[in-house]
Amino acid sequence: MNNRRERLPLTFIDSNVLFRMFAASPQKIKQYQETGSCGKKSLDYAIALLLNLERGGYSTSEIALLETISVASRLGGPSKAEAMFRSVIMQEGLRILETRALTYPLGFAIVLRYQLEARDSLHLAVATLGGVTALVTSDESFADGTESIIKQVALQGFQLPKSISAIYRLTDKESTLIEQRAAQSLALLSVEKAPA
Amino acid sequence: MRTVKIWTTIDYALKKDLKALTADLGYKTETECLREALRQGVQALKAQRSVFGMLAKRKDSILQSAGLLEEEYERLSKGELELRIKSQWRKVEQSA
Repeated sequence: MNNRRERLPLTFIDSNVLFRMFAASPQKIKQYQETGSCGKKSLDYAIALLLNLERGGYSTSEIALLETISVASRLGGPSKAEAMFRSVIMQEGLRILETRALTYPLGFAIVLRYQLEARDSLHLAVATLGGVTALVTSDESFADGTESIIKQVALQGFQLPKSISAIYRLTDKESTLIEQRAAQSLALLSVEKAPA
Repeated sequence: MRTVKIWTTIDYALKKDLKALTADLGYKTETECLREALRQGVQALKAQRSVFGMLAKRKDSILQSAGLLEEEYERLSKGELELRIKSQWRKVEQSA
């Protein structure tokens, strides 16, 4: 039986790129539309995504959104952060990937197997379980770390450490499900470095 | 593979909700969505629906708020945004 689900393209937008969507003023967006650049590469990238959002096929995670709102709250105050939060939630074509029951076991597995940072591991676990096919981030270490994992999984597959299965009391079926999902998702995942 | 017949036990309202949940979460069929719900724990999926499904979606929601944090972003140096996001998780040397 073929268990593989056909994947529609789904792009994961990291918190840094999401934040920049709110840093691009209408004037800058107009300038970008007229000339192809607003003068800042990092904002050009965010504007291009912003103008495509309604077409669908984009996502971020609750965790990434929490990070973005936290930075916005500290830099711009709670009212701006709240407005940002509502705008993201209401945006059509942008799915918010939830933290599922298997996110943490997978996150721990990524940390133990590949020494990725905690934050990056959680993002990657959510993206993996959410069926993401492309990940965009301006965080170089996250991008490089993920690319390295993709290569290693392509060569060796993905094995859940036995300790994780034991600690989370995962059944053999659940452990196999995580391993299969991780291997399949990471095989289809590509990473795009956005300008910082 | 063993087949469990459950559709007959699902009432109309729940079936309608399942259809919406299937679309929201991007599954191709309701059966796939239901399988995932049973596998992952239905509560997590219900929470997702209740939190993110409450507000009406708008095509240009973020675009309407574009520029909200323009001044704050202008004050950041190159790479500082990434550091600020990461510093929430660990100590980062402020090299930017």
